[in-house]
Amino acid sequence: MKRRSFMKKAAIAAVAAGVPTAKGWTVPDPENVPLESKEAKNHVLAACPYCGVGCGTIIQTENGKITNVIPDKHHPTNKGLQCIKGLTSAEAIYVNRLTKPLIRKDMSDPLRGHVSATKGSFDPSLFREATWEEAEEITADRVAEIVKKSGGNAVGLYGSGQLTVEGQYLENIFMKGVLGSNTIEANARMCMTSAVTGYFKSLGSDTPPTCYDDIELADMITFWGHNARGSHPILFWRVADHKALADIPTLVVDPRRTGTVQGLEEINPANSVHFPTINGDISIHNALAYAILERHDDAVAWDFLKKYTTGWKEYVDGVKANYNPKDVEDRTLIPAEEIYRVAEMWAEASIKGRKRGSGGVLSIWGIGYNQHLHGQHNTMGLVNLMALTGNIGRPGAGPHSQTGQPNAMGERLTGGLTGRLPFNIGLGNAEHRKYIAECWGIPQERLDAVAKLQNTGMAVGMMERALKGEVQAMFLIYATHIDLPDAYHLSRPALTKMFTVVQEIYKDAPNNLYADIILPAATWGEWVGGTYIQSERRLYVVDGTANPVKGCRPDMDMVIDKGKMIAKRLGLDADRIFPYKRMENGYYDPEDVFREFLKASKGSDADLSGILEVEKETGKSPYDQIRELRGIQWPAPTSAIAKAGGTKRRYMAQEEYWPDKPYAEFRHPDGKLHIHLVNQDYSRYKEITDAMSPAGVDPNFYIIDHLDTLVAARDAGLTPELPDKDYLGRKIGSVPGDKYPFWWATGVVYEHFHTSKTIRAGTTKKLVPEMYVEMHPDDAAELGVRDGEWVRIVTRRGTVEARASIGLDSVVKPARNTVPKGFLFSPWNLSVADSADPKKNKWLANGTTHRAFDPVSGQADFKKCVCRVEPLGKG
Amino acid sequence: MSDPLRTLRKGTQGAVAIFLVVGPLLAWHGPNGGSTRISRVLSDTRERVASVHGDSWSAQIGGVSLLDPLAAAEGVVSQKASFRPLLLALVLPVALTVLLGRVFCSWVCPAGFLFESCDSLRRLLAKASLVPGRVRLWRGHKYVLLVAGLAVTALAGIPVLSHVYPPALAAREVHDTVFGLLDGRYAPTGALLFLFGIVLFELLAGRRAWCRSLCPGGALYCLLGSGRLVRIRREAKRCTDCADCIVACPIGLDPMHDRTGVECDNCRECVASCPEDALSFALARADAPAAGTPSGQERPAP
Amino acid sequence: MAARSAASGVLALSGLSILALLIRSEAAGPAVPGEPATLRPPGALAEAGFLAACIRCERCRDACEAGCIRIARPPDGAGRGTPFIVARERGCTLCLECTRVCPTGALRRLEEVEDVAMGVAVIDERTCVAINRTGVCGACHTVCPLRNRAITLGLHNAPAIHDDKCVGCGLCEEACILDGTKAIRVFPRRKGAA
Repeated sequence: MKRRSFMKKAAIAAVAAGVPTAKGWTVPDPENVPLESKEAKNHVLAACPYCGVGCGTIIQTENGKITNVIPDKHHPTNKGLQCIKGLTSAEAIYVNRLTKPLIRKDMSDPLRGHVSATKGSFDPSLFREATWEEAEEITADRVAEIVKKSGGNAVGLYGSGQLTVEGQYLENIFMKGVLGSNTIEANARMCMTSAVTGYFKSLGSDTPPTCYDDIELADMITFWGHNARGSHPILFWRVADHKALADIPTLVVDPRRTGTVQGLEEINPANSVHFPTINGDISIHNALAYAILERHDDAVAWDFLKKYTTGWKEYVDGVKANYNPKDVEDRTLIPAEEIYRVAEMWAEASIKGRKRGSGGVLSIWGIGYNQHLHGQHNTMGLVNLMALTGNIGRPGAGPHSQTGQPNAMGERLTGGLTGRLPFNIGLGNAEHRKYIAECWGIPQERLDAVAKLQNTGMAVGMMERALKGEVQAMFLIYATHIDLPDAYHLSRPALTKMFTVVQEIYKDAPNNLYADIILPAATWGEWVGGTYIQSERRLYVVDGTANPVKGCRPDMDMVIDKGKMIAKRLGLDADRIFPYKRMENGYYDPEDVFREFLKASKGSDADLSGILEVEKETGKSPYDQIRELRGIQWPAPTSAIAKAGGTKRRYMAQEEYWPDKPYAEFRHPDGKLHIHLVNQDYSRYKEITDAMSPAGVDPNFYIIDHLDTLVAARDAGLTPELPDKDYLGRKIGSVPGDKYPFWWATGVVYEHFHTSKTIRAGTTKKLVPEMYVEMHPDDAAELGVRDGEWVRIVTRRGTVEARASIGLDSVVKPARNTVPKGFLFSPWNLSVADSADPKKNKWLANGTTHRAFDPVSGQADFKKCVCRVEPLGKG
Repeated sequence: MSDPLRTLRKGTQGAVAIFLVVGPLLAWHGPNGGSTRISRVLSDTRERVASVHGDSWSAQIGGVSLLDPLAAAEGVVSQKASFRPLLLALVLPVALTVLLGRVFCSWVCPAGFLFESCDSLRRLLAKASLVPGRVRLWRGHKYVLLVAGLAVTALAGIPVLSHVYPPALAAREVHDTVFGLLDGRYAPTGALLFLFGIVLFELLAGRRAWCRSLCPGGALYCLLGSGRLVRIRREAKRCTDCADCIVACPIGLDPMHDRTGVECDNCRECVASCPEDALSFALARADAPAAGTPSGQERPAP
Repeated sequence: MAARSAASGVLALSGLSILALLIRSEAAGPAVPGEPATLRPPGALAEAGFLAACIRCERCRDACEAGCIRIARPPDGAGRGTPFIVARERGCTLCLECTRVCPTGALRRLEEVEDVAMGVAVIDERTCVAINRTGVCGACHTVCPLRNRAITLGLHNAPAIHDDKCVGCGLCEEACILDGTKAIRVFPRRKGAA
């Protein structure tokens, strides 16, 4: 695959002129280099298919095929930059593709109690090729039968933040409107829902109030459990650029000394602080609040608290009573003087921002911070601290959650999750149900019935319910089941039992192993188009070549087709629900769906109907408006706001005037920000974690039957498991088989995005090809493990093999971070890089993780499991 | 005519030939270099066989480095310096040659093996009268070539003899071919033509014509092995003058009568061919005169 | 006999001299056309000494873990039968196995990675995406066996080479995400080389 051919051109020019000198090739005229070959034909505007930063990307095509991807210089987010994943994203498109629908010969049939004996294998002999018609007919027949016999809630769907807004919007109609199921989940559940529910609880709506331009205005930036340099590089470098320019103080809270920590320290070590805490975030928020209340009263936004918040008194009292930094060192693991030092920086920045009317503290967090048993409390605790110091509702300050998937925000806004309707309103809201039922063209009773259905435990619960037999069919769409925890005991046995329909692009994909029907999907860049919403609420068009690999169909088209077929079987008016016609090229027009979506948003706090007004006024189509502005940030309720690119910042009247705005300063009905004190209390640690320990070990233990335990653990700010610290440092032979001395965290590495595409792209695969585990040198010495040797990580639920990477000079790439003693970290990205085949697959990170989840957000805790280490030698 | 030592010799030659192909196969790094799992498996295998790699020109067996004395001579002469590992690598080959004579040529040399494999072909060609009469070349040419080669090597500062020395050439061609095919980079070179030329020469000019008269390495082995301890003992009493041994000798000696001191490579073909057991291996410092038969005079081969 | 020796001697000397000249002229060019010189495996003597000492036995290639060592065959330059590395295709992982198996010292024995001096990496600041601000890459740093010493990263992961620490293994050139001519290239440099 030709990458970066424009670079090649430039490079050739350089060589022609080039005389190698000590500093490189001398170049006569740097202005003359065609770094952006504007004349090149066939440029397609898109957003990067990877993380939630949402970099503007130009797809270069030749004869309808994607040849290259280059950063968009004129996009306000990335300004011509992209990270290595984005730059090489064209490499992963035309490899290992499925091209024909496949039907498993021995399908699971839950209605008749038949469980396929061949699940867990994707051997070609176990499948037969089928026509699209046949595969869709079988799917429709079986799903309709299950809906009729077992009810709509017996059908589940696991969707994705990689789907377009249009696809997600339709999936939700399909599930809640057509099937009448509340069992709809998405990988956003494992990614951002703690921020979602945290925002709801504090601010009243799922809205990051900030935008990326706040970075350049901030007086202090804090990263919470977020290795932004690895996971959201372009965001990190905007922060770093600002720090280099304005010398602002920064704080990184992370157990590891990550590239983020080091990068900021390289700019100025004097005002770069690193808090290497393990699970102590809530205590740190509260201790910082204590220190600010104690020493920096002028930094406390008393007026703001009194006028615009509720619960502040309880919060201030609670913090003062229990969170003296000296008293909570056991939880924060940070010396009190360090807390006071940061509190001083925080106070100074807050005062600066408040006086200037812009700036202050900007707090950014990502997926790792959300992936806690108390993920929602992490968000709330941080919002509390931000509110206390008045760092909210002002440019340059605020809490900013950074999503993992390029369109996780779309999943959230379209409500493709249990108990949600589009536009940040719950299924419990009868008025909104009525409105949405109208928009969707379905009888309101259907939605009313869905509102009564439960999907306890959300994504994890959906799989547990499948194990119990309550969920009998599953659609897996653009999301992999291996992003759920405890794969060997949860998702895999569940998918084995269910009738599973998979929309997949690759052959060697884990979902195929458990599929009954496999439908070959078109991927990013080759569909007709659609929109993504990235972390600053920016809608952006993701155009494509409209030329998928032969035999593949866009996911959005698949929803419409299967939706129509099943709606007919269920006696619904299919053409009213899906009033879409195919275009000349045979595909549905996503813009038709997008208009429906815009129309439906009217009156909500994410009102986007201004775009339609502009269309009426100027005739410019919604996609064209978005392309021209390089994105519109929701809400865009009026044509004036839509023309100005939407709403950059939210709350405290930062929005432009908007006649029927449904809220005051904040989205809660009372217009206020709700402060709820969140606590961390380790006194019942062992008792509570012990109560969760049968999960994944005892097949009769369902965590959804123990929600009270999860609530107790959440309220105490605990982890799912507690390491057997007494056994740390002992030789492996002397650690009993039921003791797990190490913390075990899984996360991401810079080169890879999740588990699929980048491990198939030559460049990124080659850079980080192997599963590794970051280990402290003392731990390694005690275990007798040398750098580069293979070890087996053993948890109560499973094992993974990984190469020990010790320190920054490790021979194991990429060796960018160091971990504290007793703490191990591996990327989960390489889960199937060795093999998707379960018999050979030794790197499956989520075979080891605990299924305990935040009882409100439903997000599992991938960061604080426990393990022990068995050396395997050189391997 | 089964002679266990002769069988062993053939076996050794065969093993060397097989190793020429298998060696590079095992040494190959896999499609993605050292960092992937596939090549890790390969490199494990390689580690196990790493104790045996290389070829007849330069090899490593069980941690012992071995060098063809010609390679060493070239190396020393061209860089005008010696190197301790190089000298160590010479100990075994030189010692074996001094004790056993020019056995490299008959037991190990892959070119020799190739030539022997051509024998039956030549017989066929002879039957069809396609082979001209034997060209008789002076055996001394090879010593001249050796000396000239080392002289040019010294003057040019670049080894030249390895480019005309068949075992080195053959081994390198096999090696490069295997690697080239695996890498997808194979391209034939002039060396292949040269090898074909030598084979043709072998076919047309007679058995081991290159080895007897032109091989510079053979010359070096001859010189090193001239005082060997293992020699052919002849018992003239038993000899019936059947001349089978003369037919058998690949390098054109008359084993019963010639002074075989410098040239004989102890290949044991004559011993195996003698119906009367008049020939055998024995320990001796020098050839015993072949009593009862006029010696010092070569007889024409039939 | 004397006449025969003389005749054959003259023939041999002239033939071999022509061969020597041919080999020399082949070795004069770089292995890859367009490159400034040939990148040799670690520990290689200065070019003239290397060409003299190398007996073309190819054991370095057999020993090479990374599979980066190639053997020159015409029309490659570099001298037929001698080992070379094309960094942009595959760089050297510095396992130093080749220096241990070389029987003649053409590759000097090296124990420490830091002692290697094959070459030095040079960045084309105009085409490097991190330096010309069209991307955030860092691939060269990730693969560098002496990372944080030979290559350090600045803002936007812009790489900087530290000449005194860079040993010239070429892994960075291999890793550079640019197609064709890479933004980071290794130039041969050997201790004692002219």
